[in-house]
Amino acid sequence: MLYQKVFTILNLIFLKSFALLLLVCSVSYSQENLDFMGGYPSLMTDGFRKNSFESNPGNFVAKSDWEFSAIYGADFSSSGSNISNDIFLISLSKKMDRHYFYFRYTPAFKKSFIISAGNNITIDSSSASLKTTINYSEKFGLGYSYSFGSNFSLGFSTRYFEEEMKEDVFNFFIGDTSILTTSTSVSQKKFWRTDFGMNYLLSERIRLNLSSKNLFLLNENGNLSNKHFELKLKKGIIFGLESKLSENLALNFNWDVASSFLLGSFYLFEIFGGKVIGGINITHDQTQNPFINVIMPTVSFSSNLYSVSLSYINYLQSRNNRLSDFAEKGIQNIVSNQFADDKLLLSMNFALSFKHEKAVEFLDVEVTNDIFPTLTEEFVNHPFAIGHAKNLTDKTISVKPISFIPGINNEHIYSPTVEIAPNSIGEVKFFTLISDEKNYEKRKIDNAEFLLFTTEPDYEDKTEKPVLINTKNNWDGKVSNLRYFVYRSFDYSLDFATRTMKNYSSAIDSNVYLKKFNSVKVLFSEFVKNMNYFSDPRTSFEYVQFPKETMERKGGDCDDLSVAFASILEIAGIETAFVDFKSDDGISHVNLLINTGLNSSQAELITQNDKKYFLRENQNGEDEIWIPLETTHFVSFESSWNLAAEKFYREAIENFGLQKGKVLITDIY
Amino acid sequence: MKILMFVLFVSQILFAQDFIVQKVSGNVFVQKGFEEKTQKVNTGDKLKSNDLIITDESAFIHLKDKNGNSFVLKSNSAVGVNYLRKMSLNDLILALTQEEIRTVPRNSNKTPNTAVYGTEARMKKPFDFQNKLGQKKINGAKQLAESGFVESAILAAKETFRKYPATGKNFGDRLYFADLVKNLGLDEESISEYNKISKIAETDAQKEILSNRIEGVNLKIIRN
Repeated sequence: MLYQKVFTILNLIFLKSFALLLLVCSVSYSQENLDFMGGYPSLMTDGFRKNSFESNPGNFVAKSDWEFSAIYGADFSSSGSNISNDIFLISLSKKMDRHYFYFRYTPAFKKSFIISAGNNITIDSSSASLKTTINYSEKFGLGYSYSFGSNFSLGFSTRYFEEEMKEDVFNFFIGDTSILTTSTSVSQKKFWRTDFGMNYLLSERIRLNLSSKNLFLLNENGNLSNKHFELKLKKGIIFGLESKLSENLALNFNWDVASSFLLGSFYLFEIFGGKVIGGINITHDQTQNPFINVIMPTVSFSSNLYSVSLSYINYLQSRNNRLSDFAEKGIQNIVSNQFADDKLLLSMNFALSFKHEKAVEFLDVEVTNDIFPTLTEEFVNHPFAIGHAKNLTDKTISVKPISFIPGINNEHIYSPTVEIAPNSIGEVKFFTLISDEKNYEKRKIDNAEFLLFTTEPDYEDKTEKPVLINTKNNWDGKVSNLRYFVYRSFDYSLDFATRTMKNYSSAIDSNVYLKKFNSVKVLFSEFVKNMNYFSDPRTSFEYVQFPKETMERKGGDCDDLSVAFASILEIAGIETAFVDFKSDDGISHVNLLINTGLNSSQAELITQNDKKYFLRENQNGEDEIWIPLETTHFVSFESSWNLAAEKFYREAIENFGLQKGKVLITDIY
Repeated sequence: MKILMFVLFVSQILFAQDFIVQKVSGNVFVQKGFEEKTQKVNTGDKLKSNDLIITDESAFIHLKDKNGNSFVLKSNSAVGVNYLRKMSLNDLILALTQEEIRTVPRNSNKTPNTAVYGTEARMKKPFDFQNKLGQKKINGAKQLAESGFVESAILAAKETFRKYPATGKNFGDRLYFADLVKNLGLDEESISEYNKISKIAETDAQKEILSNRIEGVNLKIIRN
């Protein structure tokens, strides 16, 4: 009975004394939910990760291969008489392609409360005092993020916490002499906290962040003997928004929907080849007063290899007399709570790049044109693929786009260099050269390799896209591109033209003015001998024969015949042009316009009907007589000319087909 | 004395269509479609839009379509049946843009034209028919204008000036049709025409006429 009575008295004394407990805060930082380490919007400079997965575990922004970070800080007690300093955080991160790994050791992320009864208890000669010590600490953390592209990343972080409660209790030994001693009862709680987060770059100027808070909590052992003093681990969501208002000004906002928010504004300017970012964060915390309870001015300098920032965390309310709060509410956040003091933090990040840091990356590549092997120059003059690349550096860089399509290239093809401004996106065009040594007998899909190079010997980024490679006889349907077929098998056309003109030299040379006209006549008459008209062998896509094929097969459709005869005339030095007659039903017809070399005053030499020719002005400003010729009409030169002239006059001249785009003239040169 | 032109037009709008020959006086020929030869025209013949009517000295022809629209082509003239229609101003503007399309976008490295150009004296004889036909076409174009087919007339004349270069050297004819362009309110086109004509203006009087014309159009543009 006596024992119980004494014990009850002592407990009452202990509890009453609680209000007078001496608080000793050996403070530091842990379990941040908002970035209390001087963070600024990552949109301003994406060079470093800024030690943080607190506000956004999915944040995938680091550019470096390896990165080392450290925070050293000083903590100012409320009286100003006590300044403690420590290494708060050391971290190491590694990026591997789209994967990002992060480890941090937080030796000073801890907070201790020592609760002591104000009086000694003395019984007989024994004297003792009671105290309770509560330690909170975050030991280390691990993070992983995966980038799904330049705009979206997802990740998680897991951190290890320890809570420990040491309670002194009295021990009585009642005998001849009553002895009062104390012993310490220790209870611990060790747990893992895991959260997920995502990061979405909505535009060049807006980034959205979303992360969980206390999503998964895994207890390793039991609880504290007094659960009231355990960390309050409310589940919640943290929403973040960064907005780049201009090239120099950005805002950030992080909202812990359960209890707090952080709002910051930062200004950037460039100096000494780096970036200086200065600004201020303010925070609201429901557990603290006043409404805006912290202001955090920050100044930072960052270059490609390191960043340094200095932040001051200033609590606007006195840090005294919060013991009742602790008794009633405990704490939710080890770093920023009603017992935390002002701090000065020096944060440093170093890029430990063991390999070249990527300077440019692909955002996308689109194959805009299928490959038609015969249309060689088209792919020199026009890109077959267009991509967008982002300059990841702070300097203007020259980007060399390179492509390789195994089915058509013998080697990598360099396209024109593109200059891209710092942190900007540029359009890169991929041109290609089509090898004559490849086999183009069958259509196939090939994997095109796209590479971006800068000054480094190795490529900066690489991607692949499928490309359709057509056969050598496939045509993209553009009449202007028929000219590429004209150039094929030129030797065969040359032989034909030479032989024919030699055989009919007397007819050709009969009039000095009409050499070209007469050449056209005899070449056409020879060309159409035994010629037949037949449609494309395949209907699913355009098919054009090479001139040699047309002449050997003795026939073809209007494309084939026009190409073949144009080839013969061009090799004979006679200018030709394709005339493309478009119809509303989508079926085109192609025939030829041929330059007779005669001027308008000489028309009577070949015709007395001025509807049968068309005047075109040459580069010297002189009109020349061009005559239409239908290559699918095999009766005679005159009838082919008449037929074509009638069609040309009706559709091109009378119906304004040339002006309306219904009739197109494409010169072969 | 040349036969005076007399034109009967009931309708302002005539579309290119078949015409029936009502009366023929003297030597009147037609060049059918894309044929080389011409043939004499007789009363009752049917003429199609691709046909070209040609009259000799002291000849004329009276045509009528199925709607009763008539046209008389006087002597020493030529006109394509397709021009016997009222064109819209928009169609004329569209047709005039053909000038630009006719310029060959030639590769400068291309072998130059190897045609041999003869002297004027050498050309004169073989191209006599062509020169005469050109002038007849200009005469016909003037009659189109006088008959109210101003747009068709301008188009026919421009085509003739180009295809029959000798006709393009006649200052009076060129000015006549350029004035028609101006009178249609096509200010920029008319200035362009006057500038082209200035290349063939030989006398001070001709140059002054052109200068006044251009100044007048410019003043109009400024005032508007």
